[in-house]
Amino acid sequence: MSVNALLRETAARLLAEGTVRLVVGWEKGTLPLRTTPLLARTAEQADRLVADATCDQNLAVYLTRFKDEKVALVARPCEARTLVEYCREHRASPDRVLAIGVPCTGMLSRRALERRLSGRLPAAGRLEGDLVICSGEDWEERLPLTDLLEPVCYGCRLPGADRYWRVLGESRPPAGDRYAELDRFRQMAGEERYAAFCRAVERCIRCYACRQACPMCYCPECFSDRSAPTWVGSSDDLSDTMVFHLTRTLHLAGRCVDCGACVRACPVGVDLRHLHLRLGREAEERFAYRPGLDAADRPLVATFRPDDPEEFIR
Amino acid sequence: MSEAWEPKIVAFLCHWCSYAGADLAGISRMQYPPNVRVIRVPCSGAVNPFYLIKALQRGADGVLVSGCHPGDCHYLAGNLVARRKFAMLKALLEHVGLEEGRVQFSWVSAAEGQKFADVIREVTETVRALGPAGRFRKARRALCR
Repeated sequence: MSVNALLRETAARLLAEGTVRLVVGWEKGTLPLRTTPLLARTAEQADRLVADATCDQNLAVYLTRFKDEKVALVARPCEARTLVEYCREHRASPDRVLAIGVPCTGMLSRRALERRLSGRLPAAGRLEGDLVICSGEDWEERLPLTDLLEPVCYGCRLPGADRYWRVLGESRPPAGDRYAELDRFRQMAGEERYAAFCRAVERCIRCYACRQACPMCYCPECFSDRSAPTWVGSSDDLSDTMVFHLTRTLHLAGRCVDCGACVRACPVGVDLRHLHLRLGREAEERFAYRPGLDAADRPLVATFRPDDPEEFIR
Repeated sequence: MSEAWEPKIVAFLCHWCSYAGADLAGISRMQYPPNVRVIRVPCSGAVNPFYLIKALQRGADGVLVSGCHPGDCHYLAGNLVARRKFAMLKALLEHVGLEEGRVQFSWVSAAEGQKFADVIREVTETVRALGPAGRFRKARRALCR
């Protein structure tokens, strides 16, 4: 039985039996090789569920809207890690959310595919095993999926199997060094790093798509929306955009589960994942804390240990 | 007419220790550079890392946060939580190219007037050596709006 069939059957049964009121998953989108979130409340709706490499939103973001209902969440490692953080921050309780583990071998990168097709827009596309097949009026390309994966998938960290209610298949993310990009950035001199940061935020149009796509940005009112006091200026000065990104990164310190949803949601291709990686690494090396994996009681910056290192304090 | 540049340093001092330490330095007539602008806060844990980013954006050449020594916090653990936040803040700002030494942290107790004067002297000299801050700073044109 294919994963999709297994998933549909499981979801339909959960809904029919009344175990859950809602299944959060993906369905096929209107564009080729795209998916869109599906909130299924009936067995018929659940029959549209899909889970494959074209699913690129982090679904956990919907959980905070349905706090009082029993929900089943179609979960890859990204969602499962988010769920760990949600439980820690009391955004979801493990007895209200059933995580249906679906196998993931890495997400198809929309940007990598666009680059590979050099401007041609596919009219149709499908996945066949490890091949991405897309075609237009007079062309067809068969590309290996392993060349078109999201950078965030390399070295993906798998949460323990006990994080799922049921697992429908084993996840095998591509091997790689999660910190490769961070190491490249850190090799530059301070001046170059600042210049690179400026180049990245210069493109930002402050549409806040990154914030909306981020499962950990669930504040009812974001600091960037406050007008009394105005925390973030609304001018087109680069520094205001920097303040937004730096503060958002700090608010995600020790909370970012490295799903890359912010990068994929960005309409202008701002990639500031290395900022989050920098703090993730700091959390791990300085405080032995790994967001999304270790189920400690308290969030990283809401607690302390008496012997936390303080070599930077006079 | 241009005057010689002097570093502007914003110092967030906790009410219970470092501010009293500054007071002691003052009443003991200790000399320290007049480059700091002191902002009194209830606790170093009350200093939102955002304040530091904002201070740099609005023209500070350096920022200092000073609180009670670990174990001496009036609110028991404010400074210990602050220690974690500032470790993250410093790592992030220096990652994106802030010069090391623009943001600094210290523990100064109410009895350490001399240490306060020394810290201010050291911080001022470090920032002076770095020169005027340019990064993360809002352009004057934009500031006027």
